[in-house]
Amino acid sequence: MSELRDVLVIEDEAVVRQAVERVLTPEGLVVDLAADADDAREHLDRNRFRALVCDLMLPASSGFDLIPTARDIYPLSQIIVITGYATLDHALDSFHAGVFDFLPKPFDTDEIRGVVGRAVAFHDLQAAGTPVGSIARRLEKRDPAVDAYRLGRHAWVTIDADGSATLGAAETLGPALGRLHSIELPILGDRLPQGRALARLISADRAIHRVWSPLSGQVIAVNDSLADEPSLLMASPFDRGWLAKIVPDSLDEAKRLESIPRLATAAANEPS
Amino acid sequence: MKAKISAQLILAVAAISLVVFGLLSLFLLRELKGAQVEQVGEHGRQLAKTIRSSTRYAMLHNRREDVEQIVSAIGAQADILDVRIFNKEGRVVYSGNPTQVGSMVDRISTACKGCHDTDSPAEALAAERGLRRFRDARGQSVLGVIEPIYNEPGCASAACHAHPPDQAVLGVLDVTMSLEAIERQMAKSRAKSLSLTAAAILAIGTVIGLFLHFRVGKPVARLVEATRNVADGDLSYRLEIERDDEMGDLERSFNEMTRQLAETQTQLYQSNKLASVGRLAAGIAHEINNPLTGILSFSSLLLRSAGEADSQTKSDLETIVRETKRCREIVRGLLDFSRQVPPRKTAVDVADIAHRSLDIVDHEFEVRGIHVTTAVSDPMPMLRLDANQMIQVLLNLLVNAADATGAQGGEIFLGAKLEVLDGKRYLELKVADNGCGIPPENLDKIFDPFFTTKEGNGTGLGLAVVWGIVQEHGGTVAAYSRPEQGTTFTVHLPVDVDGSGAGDRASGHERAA
Repeated sequence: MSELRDVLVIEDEAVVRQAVERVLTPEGLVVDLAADADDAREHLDRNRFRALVCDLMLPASSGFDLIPTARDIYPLSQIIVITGYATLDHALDSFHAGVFDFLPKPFDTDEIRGVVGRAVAFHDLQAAGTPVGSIARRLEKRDPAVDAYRLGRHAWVTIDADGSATLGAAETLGPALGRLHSIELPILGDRLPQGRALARLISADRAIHRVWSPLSGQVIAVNDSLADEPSLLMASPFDRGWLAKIVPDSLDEAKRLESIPRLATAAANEPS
Repeated sequence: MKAKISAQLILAVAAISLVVFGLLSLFLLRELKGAQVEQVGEHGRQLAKTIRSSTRYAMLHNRREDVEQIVSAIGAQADILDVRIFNKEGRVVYSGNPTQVGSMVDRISTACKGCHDTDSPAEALAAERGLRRFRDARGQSVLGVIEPIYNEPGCASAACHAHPPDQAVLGVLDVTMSLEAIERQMAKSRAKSLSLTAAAILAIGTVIGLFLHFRVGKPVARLVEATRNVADGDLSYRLEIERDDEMGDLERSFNEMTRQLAETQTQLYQSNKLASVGRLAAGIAHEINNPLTGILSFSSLLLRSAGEADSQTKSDLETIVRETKRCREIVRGLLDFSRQVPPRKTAVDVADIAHRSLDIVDHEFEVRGIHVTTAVSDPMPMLRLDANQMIQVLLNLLVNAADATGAQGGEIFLGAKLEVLDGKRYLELKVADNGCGIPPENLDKIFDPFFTTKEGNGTGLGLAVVWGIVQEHGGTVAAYSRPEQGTTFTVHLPVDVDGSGAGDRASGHERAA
């Protein structure tokens, strides 16, 4: 069996490869580098990786072509997509392809540190067979009649009876996050576009984690209790740990999200 | 071209005048001549009657000398060519020209034709048949008057010679008069009317020519000149409207056409510019984001390893990190701008859009002492618009207006109403401020991406975004500004009034809770 290594960075730009390597190495992670898709396939054939950091635009191929290959070889590998051309479509396509998270360039050191750290930790939890919680069961505490959707693994939204939407971070975020230092929430009245940062979570080691907004809309409420008690986010991710309420611009956007019951079924079938 | 048209018109008018005047003078001359000949004839008849009366007595008493004297005296008068009396056989009995006496006149000669053109001679002549016109041997025009001498009881019972009482006509008195004078006068009149006609045609032609030159030729030349200017690309060329006739209308509509052409061209130019900026931005963003990642990462790493000791280095590195993050925001704004999505139209309440936009800036405006007056037509039907993009438009215009008012605060007006232009419905949004205004030289640049006058305090994308959204909605946006007095932005969006009505309204997720 191939060796389990930490991180493979697949990126054609040398400066970005080096930057990621320089940031992650002090965190105690072993970083392998690949400059193109062929290079990456060689690495993937030889070793398994806890996390992959993959650029979408590679010479002569797209990062999207690599994602299924990587998942086939080692399903537990957590893939982080980075791109210099971060469109909503790219983000949504990435999440549909089942990536762990999406990070637009240019990112700063705290952001890449945060997301890779979380991905590695999540891998370890999954590999150890630790349950990360059943979404469906947790949602049952809330009104079961409401429509619920997910953007990627980590963001959820419910459409409430009055037409507003409640946004939050999913249970998959918490266990890998470590202790939270603070949570930056949007300002009341802000316009929140789909696929943009809904909240920035700053962990105790000052790494930054972004939660992407599943829908566009105007912020009409934020969960102030998180300011005093950031740990609420992980303790009750679907209930008391909600992040913000918005008036969505259009529910058409929800069609591009995964509805939660379907995801729950998929999750139940996963080997974890 | 213009010379040709006036020449054509003059030619046509001349031809028509010629025909009309010609026919008219021909008719008048003929009438005149007829009247004059008639007059001469009447004169001749009177003369013949006078001769008959004055010779009657002499004839009754058979005093030939008296008759001859009368005949020759009258025959000697000017214009009277001859006075003759024939007897029944056609023998000349008396004549102003004594040599003719005794000669015979042929019955078919012109002098006899009046009575003898039929088999049996007429005994009484109708007045006009007593007249005849012919040309004599010398070719001069002659009018002859025949007066029959009827039998009277006195004649039959005269002592000298008796005419049988059953004979109705005893002889004929024939007076011939020259018409040369009339012919000459006619020729003179013809010449006169010909020259008058020519003069009239010349005068009409001149008047038409001058009229065409000044009233048509010159304005047409001006229009041709204007057309050339516009064709050469000068879309600001305007004609001065001098008149209030059809030519003035033509000039007005030419100006209007040029104005609309200029507007369309500006819009087209602007949208091409935006499209190319969009493509450029997408291309650049990817390239720039990679080096930015490097700068951000390595400066952050340096910052961490700089430690507490070297505070100057640390502060410098912090500047690098901060400014790189600013670059990141600029590129992001550029990408957002280039990625303008087609509007997702839903039933929208414009008043609600206006209030939601104002809610966002409310606090900041209050702090800056800016007062907003709103005027949204009420009732306003639900319109199909992209709510999100409309808020973006209003927000950008509001923020722009607020920045124009400066530190001492100011007034902003936000208006919305429905308008009908050329049968189409438009939503008119108006944002006006009483701020510093925009200098005329900047007015055509304000919608350009990255054009900004707010030093370091704006991306220069706000109005370009407005422009892009309005464009995507198929509308127009225009700015009117007077320096130091303020600026007014007017947006016109073609709208469909939402037909689904109440149902949509109830489920309208756009409405604030």
